[in-house]
Amino acid sequence: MTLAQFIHCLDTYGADFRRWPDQDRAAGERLRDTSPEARQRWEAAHRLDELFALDRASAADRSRESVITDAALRRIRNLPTRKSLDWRWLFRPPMGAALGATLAAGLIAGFYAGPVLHRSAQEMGPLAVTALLDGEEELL
Amino acid sequence: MTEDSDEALMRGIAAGEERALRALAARHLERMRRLARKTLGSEAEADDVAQEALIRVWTHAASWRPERARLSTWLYTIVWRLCVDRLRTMRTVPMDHAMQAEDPKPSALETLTRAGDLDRLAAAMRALQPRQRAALTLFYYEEMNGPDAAQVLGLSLRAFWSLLHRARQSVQQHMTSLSTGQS
Repeated sequence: MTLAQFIHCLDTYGADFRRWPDQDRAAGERLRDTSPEARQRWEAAHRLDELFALDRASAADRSRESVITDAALRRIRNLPTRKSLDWRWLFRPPMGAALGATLAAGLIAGFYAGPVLHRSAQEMGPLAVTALLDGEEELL
Repeated sequence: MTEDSDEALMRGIAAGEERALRALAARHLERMRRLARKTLGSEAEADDVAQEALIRVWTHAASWRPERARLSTWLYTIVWRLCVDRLRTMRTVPMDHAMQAEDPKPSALETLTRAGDLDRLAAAMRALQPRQRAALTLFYYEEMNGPDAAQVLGLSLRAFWSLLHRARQSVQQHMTSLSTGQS
């Protein structure tokens, strides 16, 4: 690894070699341990990493977080109720019982009324056709 | 008592459990706020974004798929998109000016000996583009890996590394110039 490649990696991934690409890690560590200039560059990058960590630690404010959560929940309670895309409610009581009863009633009605309707349709059929043709003749 | 997994919390939120949203906020809100604060440079704006993000989590919880993205990645993506929306409306306010707003609660650490370094870092971060700040925050503050951070910002991995490289170089250059300017 050249010094330029080492510096490029430092400027991207920082001084922590665990974050470097696998193929560059060992070569990077070797160069840091053998080249004074690489060592100097690495120490500067390490100082910046430490500063990032210090900055990260300095900002936590848990009390503000609970205020934000409470405010979000107040707004959430005023949101319109979520519409569910779940169809299973159709098959749960009381809707499921109502649906079942309707289906059963339909089957029973069909069983008893079917033959009667079928017969009357057969009887009425020719009459209806005749009436229709008569009507057409009148129109002509 | 065992902690609920992210998946269990998200199931709870999708079922309308406020307790689950509180638990999720306790676990992730600090990091969500940090990304917003670093990107927008304002505590107040970051708080608004964090609040809005929690509402999005509540309304879209059922759409999160653990096999597609880690929860943290999904949450950061929501925060980043809200930040982008906010940056569009903040165009009229110069970013540097917006970022010089005083933090109402300076932390104890800022009074320590490295306070000068932290000030210089803050100034250097202010000089970056919002996307560069977000890249640095995700990689160095949140310790996300490159592919996840790239996914949050909607970039290819190659573009993300390039962005991160430029951002870190800019921070170093700004800090160096600030140090030499002060000495």
